[in-house]
Amino acid sequence: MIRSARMVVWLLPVLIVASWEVAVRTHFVPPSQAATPSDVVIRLFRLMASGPLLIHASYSMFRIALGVVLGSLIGVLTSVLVARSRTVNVLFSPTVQLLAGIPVVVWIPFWVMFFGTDEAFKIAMAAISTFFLVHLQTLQALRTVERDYMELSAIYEKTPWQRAVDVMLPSAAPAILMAIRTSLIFGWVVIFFVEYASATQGSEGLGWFIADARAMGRIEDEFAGLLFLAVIAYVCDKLLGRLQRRLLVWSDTEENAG
Amino acid sequence: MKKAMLLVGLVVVVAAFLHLWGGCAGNSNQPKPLQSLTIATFSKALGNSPYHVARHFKWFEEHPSLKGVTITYKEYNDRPSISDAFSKGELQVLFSADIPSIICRAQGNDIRIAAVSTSVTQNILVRSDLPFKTLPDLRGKRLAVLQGTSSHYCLLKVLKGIGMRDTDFELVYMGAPEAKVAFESGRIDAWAVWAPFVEQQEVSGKGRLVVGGDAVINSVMSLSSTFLNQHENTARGVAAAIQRAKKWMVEHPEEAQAIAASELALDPAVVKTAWPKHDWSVVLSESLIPDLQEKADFLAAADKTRANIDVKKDLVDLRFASQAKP
Amino acid sequence: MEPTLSVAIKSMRYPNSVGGDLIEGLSFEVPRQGFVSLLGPTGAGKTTLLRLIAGLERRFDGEVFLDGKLVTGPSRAIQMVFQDLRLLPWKTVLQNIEFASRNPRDPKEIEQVEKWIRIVGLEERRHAWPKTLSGGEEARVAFARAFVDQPRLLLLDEPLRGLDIVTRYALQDELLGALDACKTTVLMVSHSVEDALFLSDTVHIVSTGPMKIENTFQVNVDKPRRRGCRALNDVEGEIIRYMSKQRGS
Repeated sequence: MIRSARMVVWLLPVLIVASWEVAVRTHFVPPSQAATPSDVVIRLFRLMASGPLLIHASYSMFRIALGVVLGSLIGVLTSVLVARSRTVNVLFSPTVQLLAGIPVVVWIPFWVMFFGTDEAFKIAMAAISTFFLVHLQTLQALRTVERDYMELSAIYEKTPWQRAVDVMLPSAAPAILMAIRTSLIFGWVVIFFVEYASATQGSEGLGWFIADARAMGRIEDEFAGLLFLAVIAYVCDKLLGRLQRRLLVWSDTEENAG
Repeated sequence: MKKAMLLVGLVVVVAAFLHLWGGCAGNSNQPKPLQSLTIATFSKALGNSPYHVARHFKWFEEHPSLKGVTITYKEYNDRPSISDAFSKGELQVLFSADIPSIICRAQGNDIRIAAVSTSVTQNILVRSDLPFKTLPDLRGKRLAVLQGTSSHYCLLKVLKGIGMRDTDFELVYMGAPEAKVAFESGRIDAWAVWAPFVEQQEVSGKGRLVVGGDAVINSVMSLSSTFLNQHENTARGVAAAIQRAKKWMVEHPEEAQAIAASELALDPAVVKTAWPKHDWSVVLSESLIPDLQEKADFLAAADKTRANIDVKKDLVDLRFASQAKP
Repeated sequence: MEPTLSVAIKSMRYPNSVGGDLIEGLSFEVPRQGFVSLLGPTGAGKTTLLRLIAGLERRFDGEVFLDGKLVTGPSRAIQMVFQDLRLLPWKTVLQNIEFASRNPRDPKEIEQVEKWIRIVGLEERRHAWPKTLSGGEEARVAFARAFVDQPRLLLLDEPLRGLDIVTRYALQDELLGALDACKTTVLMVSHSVEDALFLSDTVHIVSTGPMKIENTFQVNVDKPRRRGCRALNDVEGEIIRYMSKQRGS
């Protein structure tokens, strides 16, 4: 009888990992194409200790961090401008909405032409995917700032700038932070993909490391890299969640408590 | 009780799934008469010319032990695809340099080198419009190479010899067709690649050889163990066709070059420039084992391959070697 | 002397246009530094009237004059303490009150803010988040914010609703004290006879559907008033009798 609900959570993952280990060891799955979880974990610790994995991870993290920060700042700024001005809205929004629908992957050949160096291109990819998400979510949040708060601003004769910074943005803060958090998760996918698939793979990064491992048949390295990537992405998300809770300490809604 | 049943059900489902997946690997233990055979090369390489000659004259199809077998010819442009194909049982015969063969074996593909096409000297190219002459000159420049190829190995070997590392360059991993475009359009500065690509650039004047960038590798024929052991006669026939081609090439060098040029769609001048670098009389023998082992050791020590291998035990199969003696 | 507030409304529909007219002819005045209450059943109508006076509702036929000038929109001159208080959740007590300052860095305005924090007794709570405040504390913040800029007219929308009796009495006293410190004109809407009597000079009994002033009672009792004193009880009795009669009992 399973006593604690917490233990039940582990049941499925443990089962999957155990089956995987068995499948590879008994050659259900050809060993040339797969690695056992135990070997992967051992290899992961070896790689972390001997250094290269952490270096690659820091390259990837640098790219994502810069990309997400840039994309968020620009996204919030443009959404404030669009929310404030009908003219800007008419000029800007239809194009943004059209472009937002294009899968990030399709952007790649275009930006490869535009951005000379590898780093700028990779960071740009993360920034662009972040920008669309943050811009659209923030805009929506700004547009649904409660009428009550807007009335308060009117009574106290606040300038549009004061209103935007003192009332609209904080009111939209929960939505903005959620959008940034989502962008980070998605940013990992984008950066990985760009590092993995980019023809000019001269640089470092986890995606590059995993691609290199696959090219040279180092299956354990490939899986260890993927596992490491998953762990880091998870940790980053949790840390951002903490930051989110601190910034939204004033909020009394449940989602911000979690 | 309910939870236990759920658990059992889950295990059964997962096991069934894995069995089906594993089943696709083609691990059949019952030999049946061979109906189809896939013969492939890794990229275009002049070192595989015996294959191209044999194919040109249909010497595979002509051989008695290959009667009634449907032969499919393929060209792969990256090593992981080759590994996948071997794992799934989709590939039986591969013509490539020794390095990719070693790497596939290290990854876990059960293959054996059963014949040698040639030994060949490889070079590194640098753009003619650049002033650089040696590898140290190229420090920090964009150097293209394909991972897991003989050129990749040669580059690493040469660099080790002069105390440099691959990280001393802006290394760019590219397949041959892509790198050709990049080299010709000036997007990369240097290129570690094999014949005929090297000579193509020499002849066109766009590239010249880097001093001190040469190394010798072997072009080999690798067979999947399943194929080799379950259909030994057929495999013997394939090896025989290659031997026939090699002998003919030594006796008819001009015609051989012409065939290679047409099969690989190359300018005859390119083939002519590359031909002297190839020794078609090289055969598979015990003496080749130390060289291959050294290569395997080098790659394993550099943490490039999945594991090291025992070339004598697990890679080289000499059963067709006697018939190869000229 | 000219009254601070002069309201003359010919008609107004319900904000979402359901049913008939909300107001069909309503007019009254609030004298300078006076305290007038509108007493009646709880309903959306009275809040809408206050919003109209504050300049937040524009779709009506009529006029509102503040100190002889037509009110055309919201401004600092008319402050309102809303029923839901409307504190900004992302600002502390101090920041919420500062929100009323024109220039929060101006030393004079800082002094004002400090003064009002003291008056409402929230020095200890100046860095607290609204979500941690009790109902009474929240009301105090709302009051302080409304008074800081010394408005000419203060509108109170059932400000003491939902509070326990002890807090209510404390807040009533504080409100009167605040009015002493800053002599503002007040119009309050309430359903509590007690609140209305303790605080106001004039009480209009209001009925809804459409809104009309049924009767007016003057509270001629000097401030500060004592709760339960005879004079107040007398007026309370009058009002209760009147309202019972209206209900036909």
